[in-house]
Amino acid sequence: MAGASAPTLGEFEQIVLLAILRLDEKAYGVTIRTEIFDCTSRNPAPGALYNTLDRLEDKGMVTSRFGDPTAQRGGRPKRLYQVSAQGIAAVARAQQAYRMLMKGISIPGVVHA
Amino acid sequence: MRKAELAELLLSMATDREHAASIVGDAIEDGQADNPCRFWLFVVRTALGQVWRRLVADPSSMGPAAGRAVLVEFGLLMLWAGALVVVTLELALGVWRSLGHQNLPGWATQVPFILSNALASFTLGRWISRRYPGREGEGILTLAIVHVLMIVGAAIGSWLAVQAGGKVHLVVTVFVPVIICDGNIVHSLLFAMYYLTLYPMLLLAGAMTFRARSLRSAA
Repeated sequence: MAGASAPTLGEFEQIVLLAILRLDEKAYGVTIRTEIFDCTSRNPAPGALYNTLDRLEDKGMVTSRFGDPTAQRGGRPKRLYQVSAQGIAAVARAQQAYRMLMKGISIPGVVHA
Repeated sequence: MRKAELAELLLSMATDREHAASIVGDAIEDGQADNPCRFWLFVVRTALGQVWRRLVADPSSMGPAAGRAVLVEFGLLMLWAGALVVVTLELALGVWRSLGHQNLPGWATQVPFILSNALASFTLGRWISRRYPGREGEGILTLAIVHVLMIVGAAIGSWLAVQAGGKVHLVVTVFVPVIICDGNIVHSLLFAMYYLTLYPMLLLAGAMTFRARSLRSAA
């Protein structure tokens, strides 16, 4: 089976990666959570979000760096995230798998590409 | 200490310091800090999530540390109990007798033992922080789990012995009871609750005092 050994993504991990991709350079805890809520109406628990981000970083799918401290945040820095090439490949694989599985079936309310 | 600093200190025992600061910064920016209940719920859930994730990712990493901590705990119990029980009880007995009484009331003899147990746990928390900075949360959770596993293991063993028609009454005491088994699993589970509630709190209090001091001196 092609790509059987490649790291897989859970549903929430995919959502987080896509949110980071949408936010581009401005992805950090608060904006990622807001983006997920705006796009999916899901309000992830902060603990779950940070755990997922750390897990994705451990898997090499995201990288992070610390921004400059700001007064709005009590002098604390932002942890800014970026999706790595490995993360982009994993999202592409997951989306491709969804498309393959959807091919030939019709689900009410789902618009087929 | 302001609540943001306290939250940062708590989180720095579950993850690295910079990450802890950015998480608290997110909470402030997101308005979570405006409501104390929401803020502390956020901090505790995030800290527990971080500890659990790191523990699950590498469950054996804190095993040797927990073994060493149990030995240190035994030594600290002996030290504190030795110092407190002997000195305090002798002093109290002297005062009590000088007032014309014979023996101390039963509850009074228990106080130094309970106090020595609390002090041993507090000091052990400081030891964990000194040996495993940034991983205190994992150490405390592992140690609590080790104690609970010992109690539950002994409880199941004694329950099986009672079911087979035997009679069990096992009390392991290191000045204070460490394991109590009388064949009744409910009693043992209630006893195990101490190791899931008050015990980790005492360890955490000790670890926090040490961590706060080391962070201050690093700054």
